[in-house]
Amino acid sequence: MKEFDVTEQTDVADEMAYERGLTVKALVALAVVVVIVLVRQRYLG
Amino acid sequence: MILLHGIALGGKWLLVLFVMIGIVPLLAASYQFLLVALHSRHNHYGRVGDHLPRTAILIPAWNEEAVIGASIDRLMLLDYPRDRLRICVVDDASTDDTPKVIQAKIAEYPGNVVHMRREKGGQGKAHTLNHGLAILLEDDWMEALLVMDADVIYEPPSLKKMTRHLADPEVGAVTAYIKEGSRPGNYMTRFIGYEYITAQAAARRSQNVFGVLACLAGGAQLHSRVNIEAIGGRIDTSSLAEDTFTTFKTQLAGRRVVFEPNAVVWAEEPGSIDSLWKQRLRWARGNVQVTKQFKHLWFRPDPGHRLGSFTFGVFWFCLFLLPVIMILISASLVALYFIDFPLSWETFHLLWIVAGLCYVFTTLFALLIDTDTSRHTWKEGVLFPGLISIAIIAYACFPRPARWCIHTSTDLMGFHLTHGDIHLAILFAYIWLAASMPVAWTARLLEPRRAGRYLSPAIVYIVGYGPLLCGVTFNSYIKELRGAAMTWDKTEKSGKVGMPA
Repeated sequence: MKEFDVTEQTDVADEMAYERGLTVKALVALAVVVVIVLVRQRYLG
Repeated sequence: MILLHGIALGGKWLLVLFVMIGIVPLLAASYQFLLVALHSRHNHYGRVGDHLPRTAILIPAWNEEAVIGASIDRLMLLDYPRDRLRICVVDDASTDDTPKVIQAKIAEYPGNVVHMRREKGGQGKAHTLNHGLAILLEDDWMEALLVMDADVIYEPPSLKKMTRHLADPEVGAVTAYIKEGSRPGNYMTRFIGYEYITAQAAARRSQNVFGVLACLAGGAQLHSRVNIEAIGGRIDTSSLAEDTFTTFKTQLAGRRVVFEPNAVVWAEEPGSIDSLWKQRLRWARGNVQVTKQFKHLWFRPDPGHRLGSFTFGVFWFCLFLLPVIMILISASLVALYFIDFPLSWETFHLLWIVAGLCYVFTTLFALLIDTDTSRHTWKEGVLFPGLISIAIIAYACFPRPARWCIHTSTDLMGFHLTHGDIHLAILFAYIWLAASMPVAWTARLLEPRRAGRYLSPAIVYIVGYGPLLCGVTFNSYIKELRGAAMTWDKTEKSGKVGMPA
């Protein structure tokens, strides 16, 4: 990527924090899927 | 004899393969959602800057007297310097009081509102936009162009959040997060609200990560002037998907297209099956046209852009061909039922178990992505595939408890399922994917009738909003194959759109 000058970097801390939160939420959703698979294998299959 | 046996065996496994093709869209959707998790690392925020270009806001308007005045008022509340903002309303030969409303706003905001009148209208949005674009490109005032719809509401910081990406000269266009904002809403607008979490907040974030955007939202497209000039200074008029054409052309010209999820734009969306069908038919036909127009791109990687990448091609065609895949699955399962029932049963189970796991992951994650929207759309999110498909998923994933529930409930009702009943139910489950589309269509047929007031929403919840959209896509194939006229069915708007206080 080409470099370019930005005189004053916009504050994106809030946005970045929200995006990091989404990463955690994705892991939570994946964990739920794993739990369902394990429960099915163990008890309900 | 051996040859015949070999052909029969090959045919059987070919049918299994056809069913397993159904797993591809499920995995593609889940993969897209997984990419969202990487948006915290792969985004454009590292390259944004304070950038406030002179921005012309282009609004195509045809008979928008109900909404255009309020739209202009709200645009004047944008957190953006007034001397760098010009609202240009292209009045497409309106026959109502739209010109009068615009003239009143010109008097109220001198220097900020421009009336561009077309005396001959009705050619569609792209022609209307081109009329305004030609005027705007005559002088060098405009540094950026925001194309929007007359009825949408931009949250005050949204334009600034979009223009900051144009500080990077590699970015040609930026789009925002369109949210459903009908007040009061109904079941249909809640389905659309949830759909937009998946199709925008999730899918477009993943496309940011992947480095290619499929479509700029029609109601929120910000372009740099350089980009507009590079793509020919005009919007494509040959299709019904002018926004997708512009998105593709921008990326083919070597510029990035970015989705800014924090720039929120509220839009009034269809509140009935009929108006949704008309709107989505236009979009779906546009996608058929884009697929044909850019046929030289698909699955042909190019160092200059990612439109030709294998993964993007899979994303595109999984959506584009979903109705065909659903019919193929059902037809193959029914054929397998008569050829080799145990194999058909196992194949069916595997498909729906994968569907169940993907459904849980994507639905749960979607609801967590935008909790403000999911607070009032979570029921529609959960019922997005429809009650019948959810019941099939439950049976496939948890057969023993499901069987216990079925037997207990039939015992309580005082009848016993025979072998024939069970096999009829199995055949119904096999054909359901294909049958769901015409059943969804009946919801549209019933809607104008008295009974439809209650029956149509019930059918959508039972059949699912997803199959309803697949029915529209299938209809678009038929329209395109028949070469039906490209009519611009304008979505009826009441002007009752709002954003939360």
